[in-house]
Amino acid sequence: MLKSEKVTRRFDFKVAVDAMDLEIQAGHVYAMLGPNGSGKTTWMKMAAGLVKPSSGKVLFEGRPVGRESRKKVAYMPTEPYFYLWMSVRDLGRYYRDFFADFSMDRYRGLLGQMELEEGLKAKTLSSGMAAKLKIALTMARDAKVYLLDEPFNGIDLLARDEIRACILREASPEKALVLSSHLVEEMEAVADRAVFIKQGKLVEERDLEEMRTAEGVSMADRYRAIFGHAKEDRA
Amino acid sequence: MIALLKYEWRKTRTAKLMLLVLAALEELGFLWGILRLEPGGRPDGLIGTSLFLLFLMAFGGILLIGLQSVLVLQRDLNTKQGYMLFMTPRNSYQILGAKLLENGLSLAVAGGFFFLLGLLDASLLMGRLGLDQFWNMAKGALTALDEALRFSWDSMLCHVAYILASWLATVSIAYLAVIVSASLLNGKRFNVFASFVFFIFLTVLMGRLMRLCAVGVAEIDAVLLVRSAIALGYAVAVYAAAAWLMERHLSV
Repeated sequence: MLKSEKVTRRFDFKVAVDAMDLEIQAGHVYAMLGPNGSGKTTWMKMAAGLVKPSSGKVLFEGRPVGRESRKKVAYMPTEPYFYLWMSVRDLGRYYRDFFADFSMDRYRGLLGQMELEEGLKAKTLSSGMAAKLKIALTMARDAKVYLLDEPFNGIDLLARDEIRACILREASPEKALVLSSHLVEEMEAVADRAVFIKQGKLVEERDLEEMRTAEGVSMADRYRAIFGHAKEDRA
Repeated sequence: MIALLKYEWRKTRTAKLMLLVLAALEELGFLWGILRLEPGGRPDGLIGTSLFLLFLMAFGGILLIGLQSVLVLQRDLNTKQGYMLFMTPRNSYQILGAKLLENGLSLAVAGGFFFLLGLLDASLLMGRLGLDQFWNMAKGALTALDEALRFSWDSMLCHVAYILASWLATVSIAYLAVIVSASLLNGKRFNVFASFVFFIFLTVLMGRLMRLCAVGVAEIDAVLLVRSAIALGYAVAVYAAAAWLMERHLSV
């Protein structure tokens, strides 16, 4: 479905993503895990066609990502990105105008669940409200791949529950969801596959159920083992 | 394309509406002056000031519309708000094309609006002053601006077309300079200075081209039309280069 082949992205002398091979398949929810600066966001931006790879390529259904892939790949950036002069309603209309798979009814439903009013201006939203709005806009699309960068950041426990429920509702055999986060426990309840990234390199991609049954290891345990915080955490 | 045009307009709507309100205030002042003017009498300071403001606002407005468009592009390329634009299923040719087209249309509408407003004001003034007095006043005002100017509506239209076309080409050069700064020169030292030098170089080159292509054309209106055509062609060529650069090298 979505495939990165030896994708590298350099920023001056820093290599953010280093020759990463990864294939995202339909029917799975991927947890993309790694500490800050490990390259998760850069990889997602390349998959969304916002950042150009320095070398290698990202393909969606066999073709390089770009205008066509953006019709079927929904990307949610981690940073607030709304035009500040828009209201919550305007933002829905903006998505409706550009994305054929966007449903205004679904958007209104998600706004209701997240207790967001359509008349609110983007510039008046708190960080938690903006985070919920990003989710509502992205999940109101009927995309094939959802790339959600840090969807649980900056929001309270109840909102996280709503977002988790929303993501799980969307999971289906025809769709793939990729969620990046460093909140490992939050991801454990949502994902069925984990992608560990360290210093721009793919360390491993694992099936979580298989890892739990065959090795008796949770995603958090594996995270600690890979990123080397096990000793600190126990202390 | 319609959706892109619509939101490009929305991004700059407030400044354009403010310009419209200011023009309306100026026009009210002028109309008040006309109402007070006796037939065949001498125009007072209010009429002169209103006409001067109209002239200033026409040029200032056209300048503002172009500059604001460049600033919006700069913001789209260098802030997170740019995701709103670049995550849409549109390519760089469409995105930049919509920006240039919206700017060209806004310039044409603003130019046409101020031209018609000027025409209306001139007609009202002519009605009050009488033809001879108006004619002498208009000639005097134009000669003070530029001795080469002749007072004829054809000639005025050629000047307006030339100003709009060359300003649109300048805006498209500014687009390219901003895109070079955000892509090829991104993160480099002297980024802003280098892109400014690049902008100056392309602007000077356009001026040279316009002069070269109009060599041998004697009639001033024809010179203006040739230069306008060169400016529009230059704007299209610069747009194509800028969109290609965006498509191949720009990361937001």
